[in-house]
Amino acid sequence: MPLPGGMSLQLMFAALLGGAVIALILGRRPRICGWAVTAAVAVAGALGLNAGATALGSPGGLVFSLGRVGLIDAALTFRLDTLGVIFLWLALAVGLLCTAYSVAHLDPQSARSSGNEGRDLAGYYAPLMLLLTGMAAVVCISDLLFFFAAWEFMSLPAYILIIYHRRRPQALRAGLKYFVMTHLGNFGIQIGILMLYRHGGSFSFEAARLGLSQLLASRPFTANAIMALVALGFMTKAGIFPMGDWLPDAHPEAPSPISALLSGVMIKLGAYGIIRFFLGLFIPAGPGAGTLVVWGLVLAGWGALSILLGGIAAAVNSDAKRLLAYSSISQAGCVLLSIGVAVALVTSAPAAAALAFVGAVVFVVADGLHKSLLFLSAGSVRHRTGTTDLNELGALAERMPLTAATAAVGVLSVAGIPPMAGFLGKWLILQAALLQAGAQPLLAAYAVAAVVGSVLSLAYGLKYVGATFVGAAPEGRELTEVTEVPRGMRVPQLLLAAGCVLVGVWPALLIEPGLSAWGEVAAVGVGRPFPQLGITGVASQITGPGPSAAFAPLLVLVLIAVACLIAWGLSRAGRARIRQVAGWQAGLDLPAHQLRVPARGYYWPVRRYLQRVYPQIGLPRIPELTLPAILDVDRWAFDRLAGLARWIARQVGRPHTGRSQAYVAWQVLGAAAVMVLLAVLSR
Amino acid sequence: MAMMETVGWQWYAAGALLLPVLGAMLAATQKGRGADTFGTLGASGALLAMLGLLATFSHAGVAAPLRATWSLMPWLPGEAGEFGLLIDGLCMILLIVAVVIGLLVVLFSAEYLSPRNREHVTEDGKGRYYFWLLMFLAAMVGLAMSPNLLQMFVFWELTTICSWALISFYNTREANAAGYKALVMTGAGGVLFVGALLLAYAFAGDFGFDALARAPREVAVAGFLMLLVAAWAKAAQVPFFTWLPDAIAAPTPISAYLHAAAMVKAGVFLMARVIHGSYIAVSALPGLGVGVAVAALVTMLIGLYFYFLQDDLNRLLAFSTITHLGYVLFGLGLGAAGVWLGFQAAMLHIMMHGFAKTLLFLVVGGVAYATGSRSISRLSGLGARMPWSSFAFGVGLMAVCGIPPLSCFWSKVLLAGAVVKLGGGVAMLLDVSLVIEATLALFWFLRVGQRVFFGEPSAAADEAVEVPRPMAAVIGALVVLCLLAPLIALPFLPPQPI
Repeated sequence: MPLPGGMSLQLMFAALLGGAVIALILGRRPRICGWAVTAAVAVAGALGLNAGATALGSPGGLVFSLGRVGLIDAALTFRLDTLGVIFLWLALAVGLLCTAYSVAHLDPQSARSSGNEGRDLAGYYAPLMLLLTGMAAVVCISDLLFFFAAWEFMSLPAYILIIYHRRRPQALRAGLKYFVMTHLGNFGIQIGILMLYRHGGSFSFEAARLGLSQLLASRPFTANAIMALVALGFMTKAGIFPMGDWLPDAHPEAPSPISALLSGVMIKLGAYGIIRFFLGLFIPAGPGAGTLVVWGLVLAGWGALSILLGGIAAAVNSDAKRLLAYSSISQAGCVLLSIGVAVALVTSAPAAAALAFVGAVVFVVADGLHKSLLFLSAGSVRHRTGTTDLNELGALAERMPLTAATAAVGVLSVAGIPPMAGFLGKWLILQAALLQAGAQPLLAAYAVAAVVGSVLSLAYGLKYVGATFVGAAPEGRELTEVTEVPRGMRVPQLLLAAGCVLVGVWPALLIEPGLSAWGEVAAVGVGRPFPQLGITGVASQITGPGPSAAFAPLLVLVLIAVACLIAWGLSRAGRARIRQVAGWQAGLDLPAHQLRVPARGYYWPVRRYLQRVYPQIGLPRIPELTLPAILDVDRWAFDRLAGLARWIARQVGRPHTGRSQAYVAWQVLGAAAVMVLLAVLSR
Repeated sequence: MAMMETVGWQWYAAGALLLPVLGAMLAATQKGRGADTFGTLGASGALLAMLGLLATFSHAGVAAPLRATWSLMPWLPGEAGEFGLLIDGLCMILLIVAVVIGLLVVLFSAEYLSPRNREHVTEDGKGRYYFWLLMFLAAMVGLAMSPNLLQMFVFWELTTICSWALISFYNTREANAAGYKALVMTGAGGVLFVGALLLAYAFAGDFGFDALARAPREVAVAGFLMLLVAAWAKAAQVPFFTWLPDAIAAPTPISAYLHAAAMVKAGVFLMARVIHGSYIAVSALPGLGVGVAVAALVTMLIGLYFYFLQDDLNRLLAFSTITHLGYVLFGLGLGAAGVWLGFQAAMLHIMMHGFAKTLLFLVVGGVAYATGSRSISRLSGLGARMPWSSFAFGVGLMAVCGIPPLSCFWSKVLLAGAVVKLGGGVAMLLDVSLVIEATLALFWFLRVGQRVFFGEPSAAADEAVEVPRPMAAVIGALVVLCLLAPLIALPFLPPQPI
């Protein structure tokens, strides 16, 4: 008997929270705890799969409510539509793999220099489960108040996980920076939601839409200010430059599976928020076409800026996780760029807008997969070598073949090389931007920025793979004892790599739901931008609207395979001999480590001329304050007042010497004075 | 049900008021464990009576307040001489806070006042301690149930005396000065309360919460301002806030009670009563509500400023209390300005802040118990030695800073919603200030929390051990309450008076 969708969604949350409880109970026994929690996530994943399938099958999605707060007209309303399903499945899939990866990664017996000895892992798995719960809740809840509560709640376990290495001051600083920055961003969202509540009269999404459309008619400035606050808030979480600057500090300190989850899923929810609020609220509320174009171009331009700066910073960085963090900033820019293009084009060219939106969705999933994969691979490298400093690494491909191969897949996907997932997203975005570049010249510039960003991503991707897995090991650093990571860590990497390829060669897998999400979210007709979205299935081929290129990844792949086969066949047929010779080094005989190019040797022109382009933002130092003297009311008011009272008391008390003669004398004097007074008055 | 009919709600109310007094009397005669026993019994009695009241009240509902008065001063005309009981939503919120936290503080104190306490190695004077603490509890119960301003004033002054005695408990020079300071500053506020009472009697003929509303407009404004200043002094608002940070000379459980449940909450409760009682008149006065809110905001920002200068954890928490009472008065001000949601948010915040702040104080008490120090600069890395305490501190910190699903999030969201509902340029300013306050407060508290509980253990922290079980259990109860508080308080939020 199939489980009803609503019920299975609730059970999914129960399973995730149950995982947290399991973690609290079993925390002292790392392996058992890890596998039990992984099982809980797997159960939650199955339930989420079922709920998602139900949601996809029913028009309008899966909607149910769990009670309401009459006081402020908020209701705990769940709505799972296609967009939500895409994000939910991404979160659950990456969550499951990261949890499974954690088991071996945190195993005190096998980890090198990880500081896990004798730790109570309840402090790791319980917040991990809460983080998954929060992320799942964000994409399922439609009531704005509870959406915001879930959103804020999600930030908290992420903070706890970033400061997992609690004795390291850097980790604590990174956690602080993360929490304060996202919190600041959340205030923008909070104020935006409350303004919508005020004008819509209720926290429900529909009321907010109505309120916003009234506001747009009566006070357009306020309406746009609300959207600006909300956008800033979500961009902070999404990791857009400069608000996303918490990423490069947080990632090197967080355990790698957590980095994977944060970069792979959590920051994508920032994009989710922007989609919901801009496409789901703003566009249907009916602002003028001009407003939409301005908004779209601003968002897209900001995205382009983020792409470039993030890419440059990644290219010049030599720490694997920091590099990947900057790469996340860059890729988040890609997502924002495509959302912006969709917003800008929604009235003038709906088909291209849909194309851009689908590009954004594909990109979210693709980056979710390949970024998690790369963070896990960096984690594997650290697990075996104890470092993520690329200058200290090299030639790991022969020792860790699977990690190296999957990392290569991830890097190709990041760089947008077909047939990987990353290419599909980039292709759609570029098409949307370039097709309409005639009408909007700025879009052409953005497209150029995206292409440059793509080149940069190839650059830093090659740097990561090149410095870590190929070349030679640095002198004096024996990496010979390094072996491949255990199976529990290999399998998640393998599955993520497979995902990258699958999304790339099977475009219909994401494009179909992306298109229906576009129709549902923005409440606009699905202007089918893909008239020939080929046979759904393995041999899918897409052809865009108007004059555009077609893309049939599987066909391309088969052709490449055939070509390779022919080449191999020719070499076999010609009995070509393969000679093994040493590399020619201008006649010198140099040891391998002298020939190696360390990470700091990559792209020195970029480093020399562009390093400063990405400004470093530190936490503010609290200056020495001098105001307390002024603000301390005690010092200048109450102490003075008390002093005055004491002075008066002393003056009054002075005659009271305690000697009876003195009192008698006072009385006599007083009586005499009274008599004199009477005599004077009665005269 | 049968029980409910035979035992009237008046008996429950009387029990909540008198059982702690009885416990106080008995505990005063005892020493050591005997005092613990009677103290616990008295506070538990109050809790049971309150639960009975709660059950009755839930049947009556928030729309139908329970009221009973007896004419105890027949020489005064009309209602002026009446004393009695008034149980409504406002009362229940303060009652729950005062009684539940009172009991938890009593339970915590039993272990805290012991020779094992590294900060104050003594258990002398336990009888005296419980006497004043339970009298304090009873005074708060009486204040919560007062049906008019005169009766409220009687209990109001009683809380002042109790707090004086408890702040000076250790009898050191510093403690005596702090107690005296609290007595003088809040007592001076009490004088203005008397002034307002006289105005009410002269112009309206009785002491009801709506008395001032029935007086001429100028008198009403004057009386309202007098009560406002009295409430400021009691609730440690700018410029009368300086007694509260000094009051940390008290034993830490007392600080917890003083800051979270009693004393300062009496001040904001007075304002809530008056605004609720004479809502129509108050909301008709232009600028008054917004003025109260702006003054509260000034307090919040000044309190925030002092966060950055503190080294003593309790002092830091004291300034946080000042700020959070600013939040409450801020909401009450918005309520007075016509946005009833603000009033409800303020009432919610009284309870949300109560549990969270008690938790923080008691954890700091536990830290001082285990290490002998409350200095931020001397403590670090406690988390490795006191995991439960550091977890609880984290929960309290997140609750106070308003991270969902913990308590203060809900009241802060409602408060922000009320600001937004107010609308206009002032609201924009208030909004921005709220954001600044909340972010900086979170930043600083997080920084302090990280410093004290994470990192390498310092010398003072290295030999610490986790607090004993009774204290840990009390802390655990408060952790749960931080999570459940919104559900407890929600049914009692008063609807807008018409």
